[in-house]
Amino acid sequence: MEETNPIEETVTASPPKRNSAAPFIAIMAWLVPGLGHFLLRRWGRALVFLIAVGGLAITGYMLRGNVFPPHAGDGFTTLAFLADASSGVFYVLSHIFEAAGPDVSKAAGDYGTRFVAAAGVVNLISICDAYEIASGRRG
Amino acid sequence: MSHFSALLLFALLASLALACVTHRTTVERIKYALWSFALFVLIALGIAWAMYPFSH
Repeated sequence: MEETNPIEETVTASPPKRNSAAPFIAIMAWLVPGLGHFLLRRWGRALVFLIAVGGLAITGYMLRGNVFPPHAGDGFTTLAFLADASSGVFYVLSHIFEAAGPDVSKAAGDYGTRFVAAAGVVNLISICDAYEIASGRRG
Repeated sequence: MSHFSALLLFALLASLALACVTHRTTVERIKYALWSFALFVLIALGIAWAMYPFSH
């Protein structure tokens, strides 16, 4: 019987199988927070990310934080727009949740601006996690 | 919403998301979420008190 070398078996192990749907999952995860995990049948994670991102975004709108538009001019506001837009559908619906518009003259409005940006950043984490799961790199 | 309640809400939601991503089992996630929440609040309060002498 031929003996196998365990070190050789470890070195020649095949890489994780890539799922061609991973980019689609990532896009869905951006579009609706938690949807990527929902499509991957990770119900708990889907619910947690929907609550976390939605809670942060809606709280930010209720506090009348600043929501940055796509063509604001300088690099800082462009970065802020990218953070805000990362929350997907919540950014698109910002004009509904924040009908009165931003009011950063008060501290609450300042907090609201941070809440909205944090919602987008948390969704970026969610997108990366969904992509990694879909790619087979995570359980 | 008061400043402190906004801090608590932010810490709670961020901790839930971080715990979900970084740990696998429910027990580990709950422990990490509580730990992360406590750190968020304590560090924020610590920074607030550190800035207090310079606030007036």
